[in-house]
Amino acid sequence: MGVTIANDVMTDNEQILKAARYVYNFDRMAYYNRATRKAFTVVWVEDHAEEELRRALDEPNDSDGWKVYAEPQPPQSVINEFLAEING
Amino acid sequence: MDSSRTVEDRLRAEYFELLPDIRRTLLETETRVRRDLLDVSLALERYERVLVTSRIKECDSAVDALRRRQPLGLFVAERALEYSITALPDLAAVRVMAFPERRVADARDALRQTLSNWKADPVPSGDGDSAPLALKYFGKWSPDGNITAEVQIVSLLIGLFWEVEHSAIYKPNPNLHGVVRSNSVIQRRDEVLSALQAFESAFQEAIRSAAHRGSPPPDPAP
Repeated sequence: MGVTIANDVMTDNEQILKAARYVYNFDRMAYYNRATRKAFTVVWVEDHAEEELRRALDEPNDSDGWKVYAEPQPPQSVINEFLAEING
Repeated sequence: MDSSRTVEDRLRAEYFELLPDIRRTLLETETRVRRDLLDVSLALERYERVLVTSRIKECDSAVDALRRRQPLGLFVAERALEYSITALPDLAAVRVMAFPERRVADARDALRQTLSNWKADPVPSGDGDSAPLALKYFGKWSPDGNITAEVQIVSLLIGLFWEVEHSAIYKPNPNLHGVVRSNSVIQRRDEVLSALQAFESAFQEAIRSAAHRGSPPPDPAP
């Protein structure tokens, strides 16, 4: 389940994600957008500058799967579990 | 161990296997800290405090803390054997809270030798320029020990505020750690901490002034 966070409690990066229609998942501590098939973990968002986030948002996702921005990169089994949760 | 168990089940089993070690580590940490603080504690004025609290991280809290460190907050079942509760640096934790601030410095000095080989990880102030809000140290009492202990030294008012904040916000929902780090919440929290620091400084200054004038501070209310 995604959660929309009020503007006055968000960092700049979170504002950017919200403007790009990303929603936050409390349990997985990640922002995601089904339309772009991308997800960003909170740790990744906090560790990267605004420009890096904007570049990541602009990156095309040509694959059929999801692109998850996390360090370290989670294995596909974890991504599948995450997707099952947000789609369930 | 049974490979069919979930990662969480494995970690819970590991936790309870380690619990006697965790208890011993906590006992040793608290005893050593109290021993080092004895002279400071005996020299306290009536209005001064040095409190030592200790806690063992609860099982579910430990498993959850380890899970939240993983990408997307999920364990990888195929890597179950790679996870260990012992990766957590605060299974056994002791907090020293002192009031007023000069007693925080005394506590730090008293513990300096004992913690000299431990890893220091101070909690920075909100502005990043002032003195750290708290001193945190991680370490083991023996090289072959498997439990890392944490010792924290903090002013009494800030330590108590953190306890209230933890009980009210994080303990019921640990995943709020991610959201509560947002800018405006951090700013409000920094204001609370600054106010508590200002109060402690003003209190200490009032005591100094009273002592300078020759009038001892009044007894605290019963």
